[in-house]
Amino acid sequence: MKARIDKYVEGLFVPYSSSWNERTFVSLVYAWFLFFAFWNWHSVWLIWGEDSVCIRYGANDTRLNNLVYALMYNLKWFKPVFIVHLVVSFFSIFHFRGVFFFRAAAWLSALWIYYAGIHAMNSGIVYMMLLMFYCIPYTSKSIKPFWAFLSRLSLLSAGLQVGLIYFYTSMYKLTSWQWLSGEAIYQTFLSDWFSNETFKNFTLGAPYFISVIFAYIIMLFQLSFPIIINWKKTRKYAVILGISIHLYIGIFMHMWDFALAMMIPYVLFLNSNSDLLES
Amino acid sequence: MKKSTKYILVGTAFFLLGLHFSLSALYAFRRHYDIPWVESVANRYGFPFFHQGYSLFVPMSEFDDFLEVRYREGGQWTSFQEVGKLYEYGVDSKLRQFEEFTTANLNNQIVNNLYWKDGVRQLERIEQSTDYGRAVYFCQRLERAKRKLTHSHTYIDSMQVRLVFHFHPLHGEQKEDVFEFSKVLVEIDK
Repeated sequence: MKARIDKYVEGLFVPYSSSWNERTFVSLVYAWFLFFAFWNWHSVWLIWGEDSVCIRYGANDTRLNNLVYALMYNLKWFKPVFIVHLVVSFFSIFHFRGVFFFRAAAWLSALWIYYAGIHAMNSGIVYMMLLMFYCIPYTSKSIKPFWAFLSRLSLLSAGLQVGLIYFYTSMYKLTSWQWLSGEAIYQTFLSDWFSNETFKNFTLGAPYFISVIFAYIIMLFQLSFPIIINWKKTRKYAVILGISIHLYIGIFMHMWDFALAMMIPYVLFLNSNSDLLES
Repeated sequence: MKKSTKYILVGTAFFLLGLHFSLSALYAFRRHYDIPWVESVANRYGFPFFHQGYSLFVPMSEFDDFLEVRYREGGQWTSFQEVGKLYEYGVDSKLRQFEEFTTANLNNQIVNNLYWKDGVRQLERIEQSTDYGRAVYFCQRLERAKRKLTHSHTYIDSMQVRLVFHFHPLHGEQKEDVFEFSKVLVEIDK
């Protein structure tokens, strides 16, 4: 046992050279912010600034909240911050020495922008900000033991976060009668916002238990995700099922920012020879 | 690097990681337990840097609702149109998502019968709320933006919003209901 622990601890400090999927994962995390900043550019004026429809912030009078208020009410301030966020997010995509300064700045500016427009945001950005935080110290190649250790730790944290998110959401679903009865899926398929005519007609014509089956597949998948994604035999199926669920959310529920945020971490699990999965 | 240093580093890092995920879990589930001091610690840790909400896959309710608006333009009322169609933003747009957030609380008031008093529909009770105000403001902002883009200067003096509900109950009939709010005086592009 002691020998195994020794080996594991030593393994964390050996020179680190990233595999393609680990580098891509970190790059995609920052690219996501850049991509959706442009995607949402047309509604910036509606979300931030003195004319924002989001203005109903009821937070306490603290230094941090006042900082958020400053950005929220002042579009003149917002634009430079947003541009800085775009620039640092762009540089964070690449892997070079000192990139962690850019990554830290990208994370902090994302937080600032997020809280200034909180009512227009969904959980996708919150999730990506967490991954962004874990990836700050990541270096794609490090000979020095300390940096090699930090790189591995950042990937490990991101991987754990992904697994925990699925586990937590499954817990929420398992305590909800709408999910246990399958009604959540039934209503999703019938929703004008989140479905289309083909799905609606299919749902109305098909037996109800199909919705129940879908609901239980999703709950089971999310509950077991930390196990099935780490077990070599089931990993491929976990990736296919996970990507399919999130593609559905993107295509039919039109929440591409959230769907892509959830799909990006799958890149981490695509290469079985990567350092993270081997450890 | 010495072996002992490595052990200290790994021990500290794993302890901090464990602490981080434990506090994050307590923060994420803060509405599911009632221990004030734990909640207070979790809140201080989770907000603002590690804020997260895991109730994101909440089940859909039994209805969809649409915000529709019309204006009195040059002395004539236009017909009601759904805001997404009127202002031509797609289903993938951030505006669409934002529209849903804007109307979510307004429709809750209707769903919870907050307009109903002495057997009579009294939507003016809802019209006093900030939720209604926000929906009106949302339409106004979009109209102003459209006018800027199209260089339109037709005078608008009033507007009216309504919520259209599409009900799709589990084993019942698909139904529709319309809640029309009062006409309000506004000045757009005076």
